[in-house]
Amino acid sequence: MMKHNQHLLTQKPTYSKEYQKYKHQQTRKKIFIFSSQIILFVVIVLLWEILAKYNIIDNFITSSPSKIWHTIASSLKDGSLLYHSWISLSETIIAFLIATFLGSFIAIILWWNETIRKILEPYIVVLNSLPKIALGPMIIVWVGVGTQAIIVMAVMIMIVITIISMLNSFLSCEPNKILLLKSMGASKWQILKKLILPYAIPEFISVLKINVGLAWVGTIMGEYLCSRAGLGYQINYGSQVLDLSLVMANTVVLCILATGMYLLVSLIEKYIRKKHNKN
Amino acid sequence: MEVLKLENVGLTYFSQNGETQALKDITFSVHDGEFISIVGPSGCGKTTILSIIAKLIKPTVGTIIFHQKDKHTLTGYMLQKDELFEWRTIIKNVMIGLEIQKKNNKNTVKFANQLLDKYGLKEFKKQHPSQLSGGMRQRVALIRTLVLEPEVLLLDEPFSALDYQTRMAVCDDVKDILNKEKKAAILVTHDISEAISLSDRIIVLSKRPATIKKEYQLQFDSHLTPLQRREDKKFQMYFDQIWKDLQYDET
Repeated sequence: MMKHNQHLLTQKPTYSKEYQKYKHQQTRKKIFIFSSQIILFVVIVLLWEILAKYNIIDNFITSSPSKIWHTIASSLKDGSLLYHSWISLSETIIAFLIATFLGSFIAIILWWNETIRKILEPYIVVLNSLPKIALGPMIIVWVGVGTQAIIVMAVMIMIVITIISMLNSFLSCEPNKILLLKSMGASKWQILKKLILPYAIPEFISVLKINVGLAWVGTIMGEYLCSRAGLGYQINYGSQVLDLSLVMANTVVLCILATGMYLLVSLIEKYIRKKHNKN
Repeated sequence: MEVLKLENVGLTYFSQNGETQALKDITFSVHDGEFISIVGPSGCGKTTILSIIAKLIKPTVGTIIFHQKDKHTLTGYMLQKDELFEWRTIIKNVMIGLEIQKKNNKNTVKFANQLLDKYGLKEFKKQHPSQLSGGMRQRVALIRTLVLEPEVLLLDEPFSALDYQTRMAVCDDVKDILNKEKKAAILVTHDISEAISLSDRIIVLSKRPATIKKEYQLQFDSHLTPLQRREDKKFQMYFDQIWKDLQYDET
């Protein structure tokens, strides 16, 4: 077996005809899917543009790709696009970081102290089932209209689910592994550091991914409720003055930013996984 | 030489539904390099004895005397499953106890490496537990315990999670390693043949509240491996006796 493998390594790999055919088919399938995706996009945009141009659909309501492009280009020129994008993006990132790390920290405290955990359990259950948007008006009264209210809103949406997911992950660690460390004389702090936290890293990564989506939900919702700038504000404003091009242009930008942030988190995930497996 | 001694140890559990007496009047001592097995009906509190010796539970009554030679850890615990940490490499898994006891230094790292080399895990040091077979994983778990240089090893059915073939091999393996490192061990098991094939002495417990029912000093040729013991004439005799002890208890 070994000899056979070495032989294969030194020689140029020769594959059977069937395998080459299989490879060929796989590549063709990939190309087909990718080109279909592009074509689908182009067809939708073209159809939309033509229908709007010849007034088959009411372009006052539906806008059109060229109008949307126009809006984006002009807002790029006067700097308003960057301004509003930056406002929303910064709110989202701040809320994301606060909720993820504060939530994980609270989960650690709840893991550490069983009494506190038992006392707070019903409150967490209630908070989790409550639609967080209902807290909006209260938050505005408490912290005032503006960025702070939006961040608090977004944090509220993320933090409860972060606490619950992380705590569940901490508590699901096998008791025998804890027993093993205790028999070696480990302190609670050591058990947390050496076992519980590394054990929960996969869960932490999935929390990151969930929160990236929720952070945008929270920010845009917050901006609908109370804001003077941001993509959510622009969308809301556009719909009120019936400028559908403005609504759609901002939605497109939102799509791009949210996807970009998700991809960034995926990169972080890859990095963490690589590091996690090295130690 | 005596390493540790339990004197009239008893334990009572408290729970919402009342109290349960788990252990009563347990007295025995462990000597240097001795291999003791504790057998008994399931749920009689065998594991509890190990937990008490490992200082994880305090006995309700009685005392445990450790004749401590130096500051080394006294006991090393080995569990049913290997409980290796998947995110750590084999060498890092072996080092976990040293990290916890803050003994992570040049000498101990060297010792850990020596043990891994000696017991055939040299090429696997940088690999993760998932890349090892069940038997090898259990060997890593044993080395993780040995690296702390305990006086007494506490083995809580460490072979029961393995398939039969592997179990026989690992049994021989562990016994061989323990002999070479000259460690005393207390094995808790419900498998009578396993106890006979490994031990110098067997302690038979009664059902709850567990007391020591009988003690057997096994007389085998000292050079026999666990597997060879199973072939020996005396093996069946001991088996029948202990089997009767446990049967009698059930009724």
